[in-house]
Amino acid sequence: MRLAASYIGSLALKNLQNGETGIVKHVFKNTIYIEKDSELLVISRKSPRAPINIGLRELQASLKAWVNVGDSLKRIDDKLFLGNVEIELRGAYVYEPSIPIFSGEPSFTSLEDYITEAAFMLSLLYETSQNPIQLPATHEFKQFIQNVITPLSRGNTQTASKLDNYTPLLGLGGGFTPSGDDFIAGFLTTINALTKHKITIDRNTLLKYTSWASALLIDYAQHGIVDETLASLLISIHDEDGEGFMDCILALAQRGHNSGIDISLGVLTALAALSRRENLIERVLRQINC
Amino acid sequence: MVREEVEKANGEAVERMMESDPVWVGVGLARDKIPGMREYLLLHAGPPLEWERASGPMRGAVIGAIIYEGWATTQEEAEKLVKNGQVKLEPTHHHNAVGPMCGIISPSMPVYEIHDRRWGNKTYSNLNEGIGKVLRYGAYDKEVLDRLRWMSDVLYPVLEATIREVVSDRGGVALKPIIAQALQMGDDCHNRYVAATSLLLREITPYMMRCGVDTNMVREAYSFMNANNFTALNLGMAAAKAMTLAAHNIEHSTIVTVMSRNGTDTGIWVSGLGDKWFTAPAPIPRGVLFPGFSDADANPDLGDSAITETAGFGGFAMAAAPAIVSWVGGSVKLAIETTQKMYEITYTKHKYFQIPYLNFQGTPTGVDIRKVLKTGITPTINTGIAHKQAGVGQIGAGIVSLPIEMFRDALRSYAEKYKL
Repeated sequence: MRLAASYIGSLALKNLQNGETGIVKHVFKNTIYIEKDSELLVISRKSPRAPINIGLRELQASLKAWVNVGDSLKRIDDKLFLGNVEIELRGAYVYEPSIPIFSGEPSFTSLEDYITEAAFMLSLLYETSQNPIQLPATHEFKQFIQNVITPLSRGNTQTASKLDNYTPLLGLGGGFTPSGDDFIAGFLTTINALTKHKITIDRNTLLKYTSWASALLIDYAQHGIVDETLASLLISIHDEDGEGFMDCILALAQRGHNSGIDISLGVLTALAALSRRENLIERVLRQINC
Repeated sequence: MVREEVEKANGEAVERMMESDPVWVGVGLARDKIPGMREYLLLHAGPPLEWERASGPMRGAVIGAIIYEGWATTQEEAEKLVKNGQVKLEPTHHHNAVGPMCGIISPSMPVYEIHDRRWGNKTYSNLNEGIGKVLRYGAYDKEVLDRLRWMSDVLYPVLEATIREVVSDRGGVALKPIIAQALQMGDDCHNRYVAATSLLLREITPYMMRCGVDTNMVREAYSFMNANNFTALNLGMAAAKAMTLAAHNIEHSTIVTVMSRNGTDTGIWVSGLGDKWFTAPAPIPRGVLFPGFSDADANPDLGDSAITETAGFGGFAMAAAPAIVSWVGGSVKLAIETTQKMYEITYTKHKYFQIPYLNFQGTPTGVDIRKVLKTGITPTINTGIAHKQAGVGQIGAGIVSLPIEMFRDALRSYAEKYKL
């Protein structure tokens, strides 16, 4: 089977030098997850683009028909060899997202109504989900609000940074990327992009509490390595572009069973906390029916 | 809590939709039957439309209807009447009416009258002209206008007398059982009405024979209806309008109650948001074109007929109609996949409309804007394809997916209305 790449993410390119190999860890209909020197490389026929991804041109058949877990990936010049698949890299462009640089204290007063509206919409979308858990209804989420959001909104970053406050959510909900992981990814992406007080969870801890692929996705996200939808969301926050913000939230919400909704919830709660306005936190939490 | 209210409201909306009991009870002139119909008013399919933005086929149909009414004798005179505002254009849905493709209904046109026995509503649709060069596809030459006049002079009195007989004997023609049965006989009841038309004729022919109108007229009317596989379309659409109208205006409901296109825009209504239109540019359908035409000839999508999908059949029931792929394109597999995909964006499975191939599962019913936004899947509509130039008519049939923007706008409007 011969395929062609439409783009190569900048990190994927860096991570895949000539002659080197990786191992297929997971295969889905649209996406293949590959381990390469303890890093994650994703081959996907679906949007959005991401720095760790290699995008495939149009393909009708499921990737499962051609690639198996344990297959090796090898790059030889402008070609990737993966199971029974050969992927032509020539002609693919390099994708490098642009993440906005926030300076000073975050201010997004003009977005407050949009944030509240987005929270309301997420609560509506949660209702349509087949997922066994709805994150806002869990004890772990409520604890997180108490132990992280409230202190953070009062400027207490030390308490908000404690690792113990995050681990109960890691791996919560099951699935390829559990609900708790998605939420943490959205939350830390936002916190670390908008403020100088970085909150990160070391990779070993992530790997201890959740699956390999999900742990790496959180790790990338907390360091600002995000896909284009999240990058656009950050840009809309930076530009205080309310309409763009809503479009990004709704685009994100379509992802996976619940992944996009949970990531969005992480972004919204982070924004509410960073606003330092208790009124906004209360409005957001009320909308999501906490 | 809003979420409980949404669930309760949506449950009520789809229950009302499914329990609706549309019955054909009359035929009359639009000016006498349709509420709000008046002289110098034309009803059209889809969301509101200004003449300046109207597509070629819509313009053709408007011009044809004006000439048919005798308000003008030439295209130029007709255009002038619309441009200077003497002739008004309003959406059919604002009058509880529906019409396929351009959907033009003028005061002198005969219309079907449907009574929802369960919920008391009345809905309306015009009569079907057949396929090819017809007004609803924007054609308006002598052949088209002569046919419309024949429909008014011959078909209308026969149908009017026939349905009067039916009503006096058994109250009217119940349409839901016809649709339910036709779905099990290979129709989707949007773009394939072969079985439904046969079932309809089987119901009314005995009454037609004794309706008291001149036998030559009866013979002509019967032959016309029997030769037209789309005879039952307009009745099916009016029935679907009755079903969806029953689900409309339920506070907090996120169920879609109108999906329609006017050749320029496509628009939806949402039950809990009243008669507010949410619109986006109408997409161009892809499908099977008649010989001599290409994709470049196709006009953006047209018609109120997506009311059938809104009510849980049409494109949503494609798995019931494998033969339809010869008309709209694609494969039988695609037809089945289309129905299966629609389950992801609908609230329930229909109680009465079933699909034999899917083990008699109910059809996907009640498009939920939340599910559309959550999945990114938009409703698939079976549709006719009109030539983009006025006067040409139908050039094929196909499939179209509605744009997601209007569902997004609807959800945002919902949030605005109902947020805590």
